[in-house]
Amino acid sequence: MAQCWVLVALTMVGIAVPVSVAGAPAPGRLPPARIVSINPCIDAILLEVADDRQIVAISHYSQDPQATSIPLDRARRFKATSGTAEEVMALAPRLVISGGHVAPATAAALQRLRIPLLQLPVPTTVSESIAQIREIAAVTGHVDRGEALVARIGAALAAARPPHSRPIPALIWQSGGLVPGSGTLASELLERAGFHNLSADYGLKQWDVLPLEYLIARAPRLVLSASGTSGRRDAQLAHPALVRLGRQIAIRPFSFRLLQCGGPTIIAAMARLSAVRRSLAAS
Amino acid sequence: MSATRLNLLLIVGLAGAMALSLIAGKVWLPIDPFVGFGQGDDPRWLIIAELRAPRTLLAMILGAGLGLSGAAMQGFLRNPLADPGLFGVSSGASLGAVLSLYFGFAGFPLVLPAFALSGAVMTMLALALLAGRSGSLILFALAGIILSSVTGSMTALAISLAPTPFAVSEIITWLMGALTDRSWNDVWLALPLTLLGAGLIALTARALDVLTLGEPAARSMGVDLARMQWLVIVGVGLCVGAAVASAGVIGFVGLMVPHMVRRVVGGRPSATLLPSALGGALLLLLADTLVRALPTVSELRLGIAMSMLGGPFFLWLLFSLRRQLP
Repeated sequence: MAQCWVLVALTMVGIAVPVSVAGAPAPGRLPPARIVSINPCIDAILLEVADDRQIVAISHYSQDPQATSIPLDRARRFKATSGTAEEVMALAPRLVISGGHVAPATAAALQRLRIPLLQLPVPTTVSESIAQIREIAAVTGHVDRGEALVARIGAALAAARPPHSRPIPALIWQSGGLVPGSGTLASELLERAGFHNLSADYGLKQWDVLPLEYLIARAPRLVLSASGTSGRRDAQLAHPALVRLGRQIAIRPFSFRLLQCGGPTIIAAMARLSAVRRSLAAS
Repeated sequence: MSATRLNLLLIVGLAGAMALSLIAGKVWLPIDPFVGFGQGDDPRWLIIAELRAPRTLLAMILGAGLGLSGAAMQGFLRNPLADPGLFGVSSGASLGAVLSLYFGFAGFPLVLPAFALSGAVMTMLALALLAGRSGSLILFALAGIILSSVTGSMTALAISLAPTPFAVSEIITWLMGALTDRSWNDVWLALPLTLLGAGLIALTARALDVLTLGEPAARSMGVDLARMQWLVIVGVGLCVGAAVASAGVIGFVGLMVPHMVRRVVGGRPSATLLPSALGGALLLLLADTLVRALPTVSELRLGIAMSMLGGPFFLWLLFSLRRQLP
């Protein structure tokens, strides 16, 4: 279904935005202006590749200090919408870019109003995220900036590449015990930084809730506790059983926002992961 | 105040609320796009023609259906706490919709409403099997409660099995009920179903009045209780099914409106039907305008707004009932 939507959206983009996709816009022709993004992860990529004047509005999440994936002072320079067709329509955009999970009614409304919608699903691998960056860079007419971002991500991945040692068994723990498993971007980043995601060993699915018993029966070396920006520790991770295992399991905070997006967020996530790995090696 | 005057007053109120609903929202629209009627390129005109107008009509259609269903239910069960959700039709319909979201079909137009409506129909069929031809009100209410808890638990199961947190939040957001970005398609879907449902309920008006004398008395006066039961079930099912299919779960309209109406027109069930429909339309339209115009960053969901109004109303109802007791 998602692929179908992207195809439909791409066809419409092709009609509405006749600017060349391969390379800089021809002289005398402006790159497509008036883009609205209604997804905070797309915002982060868009701000990297597009001109500020091409961006008409971003998602309201990007102006929320708890949720944003871009610097707040930068985000506040743009208009924000909550992503309803009404607000988007009033801005008369030439293109709307959204994540994969748009309310069906909103997607249908935009289609009816003949506003091209480019739906990009949640990336589950680094290469999917890179493909999305290239796609956004192409529709904004700034392929070069897209490639620069891709190169920075490649450099960050290379810099975080572990020495040839055995992967460290680890786990990412979101509040409530929700654990990203195989087939998620977070899991791939974890493995690329020299860890082994234990989620699949516990028999968990792509996203699943991990019972504490499993965790204790087969303790990981590292638990990355993904909490909000407050730095509070997850209440369940303070369970007495885990505290007694404290010497075996290192619990380190991992900012929740590093889990939410691909794109430029990958750079920050890899830096954090390799810092954690170095600190484990030192201890 | 007589019932006629109340109805006229409600119609005038509805006209005012419609005008307000068309101009109010995150994007306030002044009068001038109305003047440039039909000039297709102004985005503000498109907002009114394609988003606000269908949304306004839909709020009125669904509100009327829910208010009328509530009045019919309270008359039929002779219980002031009866709610259209009691038959399990709304939880059955939401289970259908949640399944279409769960399997990822909802991106195609009309799939989600189709799933929701089949959920509603299947719940009504199950109700028929459970309550049978008995015409017994107790059996009937119990069957409804069983069905709503079973379908509710299956909805919760679908949520807990959803593959990613993003899919979970998509389902939960839909369940909260809203009229955001609805279209004329939703109006054309909800209008005939609600009209048919309202027609069936209207057929029961006289029987509902007789039923206030009690079941044996009604039977002796020639009321066919089983036939009346099915008219009420199918009528309420159509109104509620249409509401869930196009807007998600919106509670309390059917509970609150008949109470307010009864204070003016008295307790005769047939007299409460029309004013309840008009009052439901007015209440839902005002509530939807309010959630749209509130200066919150993201829109408050209509279903939540109605529950927030409904809670205190229930409390007030409890206190006023207690005061009437010796």
